[in-house]
Amino acid sequence: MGQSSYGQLQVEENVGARLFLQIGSLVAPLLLLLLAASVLWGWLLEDVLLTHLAITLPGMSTNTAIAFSLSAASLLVLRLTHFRVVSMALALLVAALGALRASEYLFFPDLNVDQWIFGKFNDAARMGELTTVGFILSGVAIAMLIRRQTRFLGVSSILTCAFIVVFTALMGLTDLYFGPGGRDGSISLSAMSPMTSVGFMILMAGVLTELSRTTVKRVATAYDTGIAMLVSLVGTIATLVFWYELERQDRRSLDAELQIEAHFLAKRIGQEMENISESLERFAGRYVAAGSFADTQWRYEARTLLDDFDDLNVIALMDNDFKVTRVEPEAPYQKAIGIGLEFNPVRAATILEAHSSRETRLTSPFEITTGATEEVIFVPMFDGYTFVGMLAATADFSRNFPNWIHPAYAQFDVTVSDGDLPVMQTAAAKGPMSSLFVQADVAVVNRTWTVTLNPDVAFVEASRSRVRIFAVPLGMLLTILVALVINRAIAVSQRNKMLQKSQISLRAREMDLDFLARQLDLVISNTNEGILYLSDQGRVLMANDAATQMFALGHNDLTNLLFRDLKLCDGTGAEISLDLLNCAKQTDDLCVMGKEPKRYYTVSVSQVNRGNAGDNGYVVVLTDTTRRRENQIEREALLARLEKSNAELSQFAYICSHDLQEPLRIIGAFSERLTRHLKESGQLDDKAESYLGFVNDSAHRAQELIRDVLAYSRLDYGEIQNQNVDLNEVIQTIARDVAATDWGREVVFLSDPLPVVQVNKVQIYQVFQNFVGNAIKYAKNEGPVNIRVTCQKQGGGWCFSVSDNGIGIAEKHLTSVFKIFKRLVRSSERPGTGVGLAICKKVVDNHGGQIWVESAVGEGSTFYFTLPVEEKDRDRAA
Amino acid sequence: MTEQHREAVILLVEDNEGDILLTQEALQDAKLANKMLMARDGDEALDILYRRNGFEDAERPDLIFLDLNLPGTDGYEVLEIIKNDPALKAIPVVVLTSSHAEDDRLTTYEMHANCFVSKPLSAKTFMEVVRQLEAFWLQIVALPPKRP
Repeated sequence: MGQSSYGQLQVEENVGARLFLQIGSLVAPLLLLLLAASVLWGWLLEDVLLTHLAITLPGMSTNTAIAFSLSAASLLVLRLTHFRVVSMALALLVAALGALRASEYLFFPDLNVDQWIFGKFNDAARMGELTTVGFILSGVAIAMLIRRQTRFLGVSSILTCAFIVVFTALMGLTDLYFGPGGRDGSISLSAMSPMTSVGFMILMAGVLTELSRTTVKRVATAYDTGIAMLVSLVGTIATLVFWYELERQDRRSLDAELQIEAHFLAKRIGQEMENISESLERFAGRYVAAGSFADTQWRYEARTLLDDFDDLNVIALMDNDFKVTRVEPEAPYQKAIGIGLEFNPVRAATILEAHSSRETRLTSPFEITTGATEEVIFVPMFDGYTFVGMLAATADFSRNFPNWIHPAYAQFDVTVSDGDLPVMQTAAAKGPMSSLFVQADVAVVNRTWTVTLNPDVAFVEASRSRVRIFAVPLGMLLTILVALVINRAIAVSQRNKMLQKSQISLRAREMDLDFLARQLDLVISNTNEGILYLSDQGRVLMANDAATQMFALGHNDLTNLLFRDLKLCDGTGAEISLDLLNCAKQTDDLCVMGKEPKRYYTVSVSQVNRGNAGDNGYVVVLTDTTRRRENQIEREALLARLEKSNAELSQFAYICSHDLQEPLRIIGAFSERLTRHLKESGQLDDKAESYLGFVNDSAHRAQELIRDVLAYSRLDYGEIQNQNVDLNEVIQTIARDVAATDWGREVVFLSDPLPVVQVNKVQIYQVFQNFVGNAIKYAKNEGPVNIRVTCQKQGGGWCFSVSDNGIGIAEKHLTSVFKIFKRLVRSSERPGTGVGLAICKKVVDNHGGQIWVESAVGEGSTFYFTLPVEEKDRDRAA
Repeated sequence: MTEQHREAVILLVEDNEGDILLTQEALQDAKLANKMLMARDGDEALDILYRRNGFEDAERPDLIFLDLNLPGTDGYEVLEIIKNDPALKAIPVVVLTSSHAEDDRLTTYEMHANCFVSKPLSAKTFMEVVRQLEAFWLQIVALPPKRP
């Protein structure tokens, strides 16, 4: 893990992760495209399942679907083609769509540009406020992605945008369930459709995978991502909380305003009803006082009343049998004439109640004879205790609502109801209705009516504060800014930390370098070799002390001289010209001779290649080899002498073997001749015989000695000619020789199976032969001779032993027996030269083995030797 | 001078029969009253000196002629034992050897041999040397007093 630029993590190559990113960055936009297409298709078919998922949930608008399609297209174009311009245009279009809709919310609530474009879908076209923010940020994030932002700030900005979008989508979802109010359909416009939320998450998944895919080597660390996520989360939540608070305040004030209006309206209705019933009662008073009205008077009185209250529809007169006798106006109410209690139970109940209580009563709405649903006021008329009849009237206040309600609140639907039954309604509102309902109760005669105000969407929106609308975009912008500042600060602090660290290590390295440089300087200046560093052109850039001495120049004089102009200075001060540029570029040795006495230098030139042409140069090392040369000459002379002496030794060996044998043979021969001659002539006395015996014996002994010493010394000469030797054959040969000789006693010779080893056959034969020969020579005077050869594998080689039952060897002689000429018994007893075991030792030594003997005097000896050789494959050897 | 007349005992340690014969003849020719003990190897010499292994009655020699190259225990070992034994180290030891090597000379003198003599090649000279040695050690030199 290298120290990459300010804190960015170098993600190690991970095939699985890479594949995931490759697929994810492709699948996410495709999924999104599918979602958007299905929604658009749903709007075309007016399929609620496709557009809303469920009828109770807000649906994804066509605008949103279109924007999602464009986003997905932008990502796909970026992912699959090289047309970045197209991709960029699509991304900007997405942001523009969001911005356009947002500006409508902010400044031109009725611009409805989207409705012009997607007029067919009408309301469905409008995307929510949060959705607009989501698309603005998505468009920006995609655009930055297309610009291939790889710097820390760019990456963290994309991350922040993405996170805000994701969190906004999540918040939009929660708004569905925990949103402020929730009873107001208009305000829940801010709630995001679940499908839109999912769409944003898919879109951001696409953006993030694409970001990771394209900048996988330089994506910010998980730490930085975490900071971006945290800031976006906090910012989004804060913004939304602030927004909700504003929303709630808006709503509270709107509620209060509407409440006042509702009460005002209710009061007016109540007052009007009171006026009407009072007028009717006065009418009734006059009727009772008059006893009866003629038609003209009835018409006059009724007309006057109808003229006074323009919301009165009709006045009717009933006789004391509860039958309607007169109506004014007659059309279209003449059908009512003649109806009695049986007409309607509701009406009948109210009439009876008015009769029994002798007070004015109001019915709940019921269907009157014209077919309209009306509520009727009944005023009973009593003359003293005599019931004379009843006045009935119906009123419709809705005609007067516009007069009663402030023009600013004209965009309401007003409903007056008696319980569940509507009394009267107005449809003053324009455009879509909001889901906001404000109610006020009013006591009307004997009943309670409810006045309900239902404003239209335009009114609710118009009443919202601008601050609230600005809150979301401003909050998001602030969040991004804070994220950028924090990220920037982190980046700077990390860079500083790294800088500090690198400064510390730089200082440490500087000290190391200083130390090294001083050491190097010390080494170079104290070395005996003259060292020169030359430029490309062969100018001296640097020279050490030894070099300055060789050239008899100071450091300053030497520097910048051309190397080929230098003159070597030898010990006597004589100068020699050098043309070292002819030296090979690579290391090459060369001897330079001065005047007498000659001095020799080895010049080694090596090229220094440091990459840049200007940095190339040569290192020249001059070694004074005069002494070495002298030594070499001495060595050569010594070698010559040695070779001569070796040749003389060989000569000596020759002399020994031939020239020295010759006189000894003659001595032996003639001492024998002399003995016989003296014996024949009778002159051989005892003394003479013994003298001649000494002569003869000594001559033979000398011959034997010479022969053995030659054999011994020959072991030193020449390479050991190793070959695969089957030791069994060697032992068999020896055994045959032993058997062929008459020893005058029984000789038992046994041997283990022996391996095939790579040895010098003649020498190893000598070893076994000497051991066996010794076993017989140094046998006890009596009894059979037992000889046994054994063999054991030991480590990387073999251990052989030859044991006998001879006279044995005293412990103190166990090592000295292997010395040359060393004998333990007198020659007169057992003849010998004392060379045999020395030969054995030398042979074993030559083969890299060891030799020793174990013995007990009077019991026998066992000679051991090892051969550190591997057994050869018997078959191949054969 | 009374000491001169007593019979001197000489121990000759020598494995070469020819040299033994020559020495014996030389000593016989000298006609000096002396007695000669023979040891043919180092072990036998030590047996005589320590009166053991069949030599319990051997006399203590007044002078030892010691060859260096002996089978088994060699002359050096015998010399070392004699000169490290307080009971024996007073006996003069004449190293009589065929060696001419400087090493041998130095070593034996360092081991307190009383003199080192190389065997001359000719029989005449050899016998003369032996006679002179006998004369020197038995007539000129005063040997340590006789011990039982």
